[in-house]
Amino acid sequence: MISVTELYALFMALSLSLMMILIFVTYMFMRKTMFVSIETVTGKAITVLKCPYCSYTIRRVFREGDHVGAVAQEKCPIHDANLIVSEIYTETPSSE
Amino acid sequence: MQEVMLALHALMVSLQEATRQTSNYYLYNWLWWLFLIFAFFIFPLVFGDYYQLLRLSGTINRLLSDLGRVLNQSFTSVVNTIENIVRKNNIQNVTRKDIESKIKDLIEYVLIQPTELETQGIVNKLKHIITLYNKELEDAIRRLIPVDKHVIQNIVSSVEALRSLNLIYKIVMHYYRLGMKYRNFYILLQIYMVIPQIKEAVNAISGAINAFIKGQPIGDSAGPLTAFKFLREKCESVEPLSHSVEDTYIARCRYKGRIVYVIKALGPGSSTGRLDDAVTYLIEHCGVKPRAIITVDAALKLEGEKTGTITEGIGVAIGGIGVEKFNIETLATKYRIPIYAVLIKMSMPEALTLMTKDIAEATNKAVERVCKIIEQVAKEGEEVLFIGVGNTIGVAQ
Repeated sequence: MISVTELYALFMALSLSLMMILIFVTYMFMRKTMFVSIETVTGKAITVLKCPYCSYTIRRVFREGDHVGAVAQEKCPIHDANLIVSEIYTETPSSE
Repeated sequence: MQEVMLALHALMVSLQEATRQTSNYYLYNWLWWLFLIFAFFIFPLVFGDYYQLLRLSGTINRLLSDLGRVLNQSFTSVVNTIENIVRKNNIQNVTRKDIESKIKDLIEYVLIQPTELETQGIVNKLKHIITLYNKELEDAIRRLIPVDKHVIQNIVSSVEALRSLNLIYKIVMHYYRLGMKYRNFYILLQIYMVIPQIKEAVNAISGAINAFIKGQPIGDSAGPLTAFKFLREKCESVEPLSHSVEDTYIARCRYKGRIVYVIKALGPGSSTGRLDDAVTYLIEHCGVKPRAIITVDAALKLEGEKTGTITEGIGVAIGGIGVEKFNIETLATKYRIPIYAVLIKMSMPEALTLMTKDIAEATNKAVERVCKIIEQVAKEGEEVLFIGVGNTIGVAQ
């Protein structure tokens, strides 16, 4: 037979556990909503250069002054023509 | 079953015994019950609203400090960019203080929309006010730094984005202060409910400022990039037309025997051009009789849709306030011209920040779709208008 003291201790332990669970659940819920942070994600920009006469393409890191349609200093090894900037983008994965 | 019944009976007997124990046990037991009743029934009933107010105010306070940090960072990067331009171009008598005070003034510059009491002619009034607003902003920056137009356009767009950030900050602050002033958690709840949207918008706008100050193409540049690729890769005998439409590029070219007029904003500065004026110029002043008007634009995707998906449809694909859309629709209806749209799907942050690889690749597919539509709707020798809609930052012609 369980003694009265043991029963009282069990009752206390159960109540405390319930309270702890409630406090933990409240904390987890608040953690999701309370600590909203704003982060600016900026990926590295890549410039794609293309030969105007063939499909020769190279990629390099974006430099100041690059824009689509600009004539780059790099040359096509086949045609010896200046490459044209055809795309500028980041490879940061898109959000689904 | 009998064992369970016996155990329950034993438990009940023990509980009854517990209440009949010494006065100390009796007192502790009741105190514990009182505490539980207070904690789980009285407290939530009496102090529930106050607790919610504390919780919401904590969240919104944190949001406000984050917003303030982003606003300050963006403001500093715009001021630094202008300072660099001043130093590089050796512009005299412009100090950092002058730049800061000018940008602060421009951030607070307001655009008052025309009255909607009488709606007749509201589109023209709106267009007049927006044109004037853009011109004033450009002039203000030009007075500060007299440099190339595309640089000024990029700075103007950065200031516009700063203005949006500032407005968001002020609105959140307004509701926060109002809620705390009247201890009303329902006022705070209105902001709390839209925190995800605010967070997404702020991320997008701060990313846009980065792209604008560097002159890099953004997701919204997908329309002009499609027009650029069409002109470079698919057209023959490209001939730019001289005209009086500001900030807009119009070219005539031949595609498989069809005459295509390509319209886009004049790049590589940040501009959306005056596409409706260009269409009016071609149809009403040059006498062009297009078999179709094709618009290509970035469109907002829903959560779960894939970035870079191409969708075709009927209608004018132009976002914004709707002035240009209205004018092109009016012209198309007047002359019974079919209007086709090609949309490139992306999220709002993707539309405003540096273009992603998926979107850049999607423009190739958009070019193919445009070619297919042209071949289907026009015979050899017939004319078609193709409009690359969007901000042309980082995309020339």
